[in-house]
Amino acid sequence: MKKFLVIIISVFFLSFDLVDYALYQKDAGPDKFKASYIYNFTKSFEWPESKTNEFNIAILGTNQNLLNFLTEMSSTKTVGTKKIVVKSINSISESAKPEILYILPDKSSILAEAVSKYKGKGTLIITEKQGLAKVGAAINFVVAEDKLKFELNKSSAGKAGLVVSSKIEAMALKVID
Amino acid sequence: MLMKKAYRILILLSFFSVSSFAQLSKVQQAYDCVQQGKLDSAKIYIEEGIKDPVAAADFQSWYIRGFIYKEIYKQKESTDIKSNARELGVESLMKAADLDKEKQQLASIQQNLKFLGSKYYNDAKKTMDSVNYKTSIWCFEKYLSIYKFVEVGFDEKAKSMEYFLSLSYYFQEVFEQNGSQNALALTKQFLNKSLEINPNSAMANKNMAVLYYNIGVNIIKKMDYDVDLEQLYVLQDEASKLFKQAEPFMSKAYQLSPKDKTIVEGMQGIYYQLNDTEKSNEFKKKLEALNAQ
Repeated sequence: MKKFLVIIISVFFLSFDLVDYALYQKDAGPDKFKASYIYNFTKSFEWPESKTNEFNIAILGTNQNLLNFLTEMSSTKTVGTKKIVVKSINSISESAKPEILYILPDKSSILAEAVSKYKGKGTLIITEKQGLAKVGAAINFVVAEDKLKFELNKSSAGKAGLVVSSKIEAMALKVID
Repeated sequence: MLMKKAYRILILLSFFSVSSFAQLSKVQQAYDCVQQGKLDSAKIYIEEGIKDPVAAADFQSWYIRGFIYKEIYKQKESTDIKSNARELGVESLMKAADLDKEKQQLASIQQNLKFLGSKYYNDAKKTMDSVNYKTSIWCFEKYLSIYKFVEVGFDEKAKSMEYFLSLSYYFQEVFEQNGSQNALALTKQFLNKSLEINPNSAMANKNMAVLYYNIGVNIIKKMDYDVDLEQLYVLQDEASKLFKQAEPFMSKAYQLSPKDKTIVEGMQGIYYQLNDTEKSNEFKKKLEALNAQ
């Protein structure tokens, strides 16, 4: 009888496994959108002719996540026939003229120096801080209605020696002549 | 062997004497058949006997009937989820419990009911899949009705929450594996059911938030780098809507359970995705503080 009762009692511990849903890693987010925007820019701007087989993207400052996405992008995409080379730098003297210079917010103070250094040399300067499109960046990422958009400074792009496509102009949140 | 023991217990526990059933020969015969292991005959006799108004008013008749059907279920229909014997066993035992006003055999009746209830519960677990989930819910409701009946203080709300959260988790996994929109709809349905039962469940709120969040993140993960700008805007819109849907659920979960690291991490993630760096950093610091504790 004791055994029988034990059997009965044992089946009465009833419970379902409660499991928290697992949160995905947050790495796929705004930085991936930035990488995708940048790849679009490589197709929407015209750079001066160059004989190198590389298309250089330099990130000034530290954003490992963005660097990872751009590196991933460079492993499968090209700009025309050119291989995309991505590197992270801490000062503009570390890199020969890149086709794209991405200046992170903590390095914004270098913008004026970079604009001056790359004037007419075919370097697209991209920033991501409010107001920088007005002071030399050709592209400035901004957040509008929770989404990542970009401002275009046509004049800065022109001074850098770049030709802007009408599509980029049409898609910009704001165009500064 | 077990059945023999069960019969012995029935005999041991039954206080009534054979002679008290002299006028109710069919019930008596059913009882005798149970002792001899002749369940088919016992079933015939008890169905005849129960028609007698005196027998039908006696809890012992229903107890015997319930016991017979319980044994039939155990021996012949234990794999049949819709077993009629199990249903008749529960119905009879509940009637026996109602009629046993002096609680002479109530503990034994309840024990038998719990046994059958636990079997419904196990079946609810077994059938928790894409094809049989409606059966699972049916079994779970049967289990609930039995346990509410037999167990004083049975926490129906907690058990229901546990069940529907578990069901939603099953479909969430199916959705993540194959992207089935039906599985997604069912995940939401069962999470909503959990929230109806307890709107203040941190886990249900968090899981709903994570569901929306993960769908949003998946949109971004699947995005190719050379998606054109128009499409890039569309994808951002889609993902942003999902993160906004996630936010109120995660905020509520945070209010309810501010020290839950996964919830704080969820808050950080949602605001990061919504490009709200300030708030994302605020929760990042809170998470760091929690991790340092």
